[in-house]
Amino acid sequence: MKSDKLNRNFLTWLVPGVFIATIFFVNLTQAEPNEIYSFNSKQKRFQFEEVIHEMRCLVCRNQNLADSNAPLANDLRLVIYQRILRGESVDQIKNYLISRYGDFISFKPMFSRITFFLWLSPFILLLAVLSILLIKFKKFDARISKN
Amino acid sequence: MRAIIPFIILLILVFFFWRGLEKDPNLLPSPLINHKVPEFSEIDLLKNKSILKNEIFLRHWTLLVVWSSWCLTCADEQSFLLNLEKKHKVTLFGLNYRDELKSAQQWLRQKGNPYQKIIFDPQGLFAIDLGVYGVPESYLIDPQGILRYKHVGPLTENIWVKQMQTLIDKRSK
Repeated sequence: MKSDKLNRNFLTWLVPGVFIATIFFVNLTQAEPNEIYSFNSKQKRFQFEEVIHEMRCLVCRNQNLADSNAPLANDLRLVIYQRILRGESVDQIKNYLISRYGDFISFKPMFSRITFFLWLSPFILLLAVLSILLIKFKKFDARISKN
Repeated sequence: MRAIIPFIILLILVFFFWRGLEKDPNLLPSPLINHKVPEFSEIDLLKNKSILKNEIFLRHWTLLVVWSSWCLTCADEQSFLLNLEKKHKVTLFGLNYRDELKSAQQWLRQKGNPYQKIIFDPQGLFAIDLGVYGVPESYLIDPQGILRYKHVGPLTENIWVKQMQTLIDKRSK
């Protein structure tokens, strides 16, 4: 009887177990197209990864350069790689790409005359909601003290 | 007062949605417009071994067309381009993008060559400097070597007359 219980236990845990394992290992199944690039320092590899993950592939629009295998994405990765080897900083490379392709190439648009509302809107909305709440509470308080 | 606030919010939303409707999300404005053509030094596909530099864009209006032999839509604008130089005061240069020398030359023999000079860019590096993201593309460059207009997709008589010709006329006055 003991083995029967064990069996049932195993079955009840099997499905959630596989599910959780899938969540953890799903990253390993994605192909990384940038394996051919080698760096002499970890720091440079991280810089390269940062740029290709933050820059958009302009052919397949909603993919970044790290995930895309479009010819243009390959070319752009090569350009970024060469610039990293030359010792350019992450910001220099991002600025170069933005100067050629516009703000759209960046998934994290820079703070500028055009994008300031985009960046500030969460704070503006938060302030607006807080001030509305404050006014409401004051009115509520006033009503309570009147009664 | 209560009724006005939602109405104002509605108006703001309508304004943005309306603008969104009229915009083409596939068009990416080039940040290089009204800037000089980036420095380059590349081989001429037509005359091997001669090197082309920024000077080729000086003293005349230039239409620089990005093309490849593997690009199917590039053939669509060919008949328009072959007739362009005869009719208008513009110099036609090509930028051969990510191509092989032999197939590019063969393509020109088959379809005709509308270009006076062709920048050969097999690795697509000068193209990246120009902000090319899809062939065919065409760039209008003024006599000072400054980019004035960019069109993505095959060029037509309509776009030439409405956008580029008017720009040249306006600037030439």
